[in-house]
Amino acid sequence: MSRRARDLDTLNQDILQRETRASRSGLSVLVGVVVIALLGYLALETGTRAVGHEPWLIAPERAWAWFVGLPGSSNPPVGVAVAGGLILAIGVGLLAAALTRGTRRRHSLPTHRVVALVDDDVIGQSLVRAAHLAAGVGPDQVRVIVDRAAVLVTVRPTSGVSIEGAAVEEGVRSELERQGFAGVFTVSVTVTATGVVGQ
Amino acid sequence: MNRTPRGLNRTILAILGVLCVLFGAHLILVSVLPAYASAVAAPLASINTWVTETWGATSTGGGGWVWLALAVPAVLIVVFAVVWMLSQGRGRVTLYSREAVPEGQARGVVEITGSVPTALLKRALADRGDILSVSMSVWDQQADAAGLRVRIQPRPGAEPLRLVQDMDRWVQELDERVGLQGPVLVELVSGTRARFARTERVR
Repeated sequence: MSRRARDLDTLNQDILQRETRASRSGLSVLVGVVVIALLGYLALETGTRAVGHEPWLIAPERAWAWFVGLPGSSNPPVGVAVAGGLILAIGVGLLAAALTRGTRRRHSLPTHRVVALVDDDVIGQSLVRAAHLAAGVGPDQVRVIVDRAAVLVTVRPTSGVSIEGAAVEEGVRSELERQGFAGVFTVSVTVTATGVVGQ
Repeated sequence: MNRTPRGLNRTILAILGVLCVLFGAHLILVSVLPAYASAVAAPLASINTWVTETWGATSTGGGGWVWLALAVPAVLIVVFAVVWMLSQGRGRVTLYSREAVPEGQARGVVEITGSVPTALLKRALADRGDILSVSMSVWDQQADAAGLRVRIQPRPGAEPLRLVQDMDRWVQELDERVGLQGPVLVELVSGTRARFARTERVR
């Protein structure tokens, strides 16, 4: 707090940028643990070799000789290719994690002072009321799922009573506008073929 | 809001990813493709001769400082990795603000801990029917006051915009009461409790 204070707006912008992307900190901790284990083992082996002791598990020079001799050996065991495939897959996964945005499942709301982020789940649940009222069915007959930029509404109609999908779509869309998410989501409604009895 | 080094995370993950891809591809190709094996045998052999000539150590013999040349960087990388892991999620503090206040000839310091805005918020949100739980944490920021992270678990079906607007107003009041401004992040989260609660509640 004794540092030079930054403008609140830029601070808020920073926070918004950071909080809508995955931080990859969980993966970093996992990778860090693995790196520490592997390199710790390497340090142990080379350290014991340096002081002339017997190797603990694998003598470093034997491992190096094996690695250099791989191209020369006529038929390396299948395990090598399998291990290679595993390591390759891990590498691709790490690259993907590093390069993709990894958006977290939330959306921001327009505010004056705070930075507001709403979980997609919360948005979906707030739409249930509008959806079932527009469809004219009970709240247990609709399911709203928010998937990135799409709202998917599934309605199970009461037997014998038809549902107008367009009305439900309009109802959900106007509720989204009312909640400050105008134009953020596309709404699609599915009316299932099987209905519920009674209600 | 925290000081997790996100750029560094992604950079290190990318580097390690490339290394794994190269190493894994090498192992696969060496086993499967004789053309690659023969192409790679010569360079590897020359690296090997350079290594053995420079280090002069073969299968037996006493130790040597040459092996330390591998051990020491490994230990350094381990230390770096520990620091890197510990810097994830850093930045949480207990003090909300700290101000030097002149009092006549003397100077005093006013410290407000995070429990103050926490208590104020809990009292302001106490009787709301649309909230299941609230939690607040305080994070260090480059501003007059610390950053507040308010995590609200609304009841299923609650209107997010109304909650957020109320929080907006509350924070503006807090600004006036405390006289300092820090960033505030309001998160509306859905925990397992919210997911299994009833979809609607008649009030």
